[in-house]
Amino acid sequence: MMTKSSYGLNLQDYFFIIILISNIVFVTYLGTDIYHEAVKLDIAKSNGEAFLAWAEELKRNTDKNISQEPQACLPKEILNENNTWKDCLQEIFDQKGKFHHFKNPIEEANPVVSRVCDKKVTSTKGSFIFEKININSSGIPTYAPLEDSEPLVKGLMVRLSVCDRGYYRIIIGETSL
Amino acid sequence: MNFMILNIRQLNLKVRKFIYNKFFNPDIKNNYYHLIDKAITSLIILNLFGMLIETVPAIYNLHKSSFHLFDQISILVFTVEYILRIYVVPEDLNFSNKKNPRITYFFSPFALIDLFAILPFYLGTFVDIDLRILRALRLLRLFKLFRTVAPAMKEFNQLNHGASFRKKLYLIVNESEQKNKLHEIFDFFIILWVIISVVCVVLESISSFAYYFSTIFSVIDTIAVGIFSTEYLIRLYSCVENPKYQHWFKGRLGTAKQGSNIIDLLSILPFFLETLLGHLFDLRFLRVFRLMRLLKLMRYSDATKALISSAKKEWPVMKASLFIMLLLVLLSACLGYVFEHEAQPDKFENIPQSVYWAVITLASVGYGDIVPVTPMGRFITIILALVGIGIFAIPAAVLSSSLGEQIRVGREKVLNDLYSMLSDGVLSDEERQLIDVEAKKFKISKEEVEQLIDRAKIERQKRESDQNRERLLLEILNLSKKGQLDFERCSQDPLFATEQFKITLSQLQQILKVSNTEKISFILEDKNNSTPTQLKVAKILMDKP
Repeated sequence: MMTKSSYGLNLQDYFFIIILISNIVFVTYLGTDIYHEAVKLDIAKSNGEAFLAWAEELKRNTDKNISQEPQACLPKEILNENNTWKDCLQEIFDQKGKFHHFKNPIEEANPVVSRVCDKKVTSTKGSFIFEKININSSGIPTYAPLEDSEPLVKGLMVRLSVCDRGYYRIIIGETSL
Repeated sequence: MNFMILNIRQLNLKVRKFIYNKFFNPDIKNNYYHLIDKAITSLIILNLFGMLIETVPAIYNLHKSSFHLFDQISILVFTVEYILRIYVVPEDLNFSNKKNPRITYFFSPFALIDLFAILPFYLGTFVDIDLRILRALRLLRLFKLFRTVAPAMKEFNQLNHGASFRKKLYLIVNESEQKNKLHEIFDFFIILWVIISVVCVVLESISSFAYYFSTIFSVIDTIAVGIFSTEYLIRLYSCVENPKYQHWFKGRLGTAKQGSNIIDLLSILPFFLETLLGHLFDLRFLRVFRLMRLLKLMRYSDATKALISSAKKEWPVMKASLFIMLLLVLLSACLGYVFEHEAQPDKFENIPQSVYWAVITLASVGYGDIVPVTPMGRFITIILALVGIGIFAIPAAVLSSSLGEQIRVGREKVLNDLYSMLSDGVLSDEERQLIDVEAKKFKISKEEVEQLIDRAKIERQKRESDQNRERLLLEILNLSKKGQLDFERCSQDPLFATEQFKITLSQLQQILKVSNTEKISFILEDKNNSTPTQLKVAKILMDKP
């Protein structure tokens, strides 16, 4: 015969309540972790949106022949110089660059920009992924990693994504030079 | 002047009573109490969603004024409700006997919750408070839901006074014969969360929604898993209260193996697996399994239960038809392969590929992507299409007839219950509630229930009058055996008199039947020997004009 407490609960009931509370605590712990990751991802998204807004402005101004900085990001048709994608990235994410304050929101030590979102390379988590958009003959867009050596030419179409904690690309948007 | 004051006071009392009885008195049937209750509950839930959506800057910045307007409307409704409750509280029996009902009510937990729900808004208007604190304080509105839950809890505790903690949990999560408001609230809560989480899973598949609401979706998913896992644990812990599953381990194992509980487990498992093992394996596909939560609703749908029970009942027939179907599919796939392979090696490459064509043809879908071209292939297709109509119709027909039978049996049961309930001639409120529950279970509409009640009443009256008549006949026959006639009873009981008259009349008919009617007529026609009435009656009984 089990003894009951003043609340009418026996030992089994207390054990069950402990399990129930542990479950809630565990789910809350996991949920908090997921929430923090989602918030970090939101930061990455808003950073990406800021980049796209800047790229759009750059394009608008170069179209109007208004001089723009940094020159490393201007296409060959405007500058008459062969800038590459790497030049532009270095310039804008440099210590004096427009987006120098951008950090990888998931892991600060990880790079801000990666070539691909790869599960095997854990440092790609939280970084920006830039892809070159090619439209094939039937009008269907195809996407390939934007290589460092890619020359900046007018009309170069770029898709920006962020690599999430599960190593999946979350598309932020597209822009062109 | 005094007369005017008296009039105003009387009017005030009348208005107060009217408002209380119309909107806040739970003991009056057909007033607006439940409607108001539901409306306030819905508004609180909408407020919760509003608060969640407000956290998405992309949406909040676009619709700032709409959010603000909704907040103001909510506060207005809650304020009016709060003021009215304080105004009518002297009519409430729980407070009317207090020295100062309004002050007593003001400090009661419910009134304080109501006050805290609206206070932050007014504080924010007059005092400069951090917006984030104000938003957090708005969560206090959720406590208003206790107004619905608390009376149900009180009623539940009264009904189950002395029951163990585990038994109480069992009664909350499982359906029982006892009318249990707390169980209804629990069911509603689970159904609500199932719908919310499924809607979120569906919306998450839309990239723009996933992009802007990912944080909210993750919060909602965590809350849903918290709720569903708690429900699952409670079900497993309390199942031993069910006489079928009394053993502490085997009982729980048996419960865990039940279809509905497997669904419950599968609806929470993806969250844990993806969170804990997501960095090791690609488990994103598990997200789709969150849609399994929709299957949780089966537990709450009587129609689905009826369908499953019909399918179980008719399983041998269904199994046979499925077997024939399978046989036919394989046979036609083989024949299709034999006749079409040479002509179309790309489409009828092997038998498994031909199975696709056979199923599409048998089910009368006919996409047209694989078409037979040889004469024999076309002949097979014709046979297949014709047979397919019948074969696919068998399970549907079996199921529909079984469902119809179940509904008929249900109606009979309701009718029998009604007969037994009406044995005392009255259908009490509790009996009516039980009948309503049964009727809901067997999908009988309210109008049909009324018809069944009328039918049961008429049949009961008929049965009762038949029984009375039989009893009277027995009494009269006993008396006549003794050669007696109870004239006193005849003078008091018209029904008895009628039955006595009918028996006497039939005895007279029998006398005339066994006698020489011509001689009797001759004797009766002698005026000295009979009265005119006696002669008249005799002639009527002899069928003589």
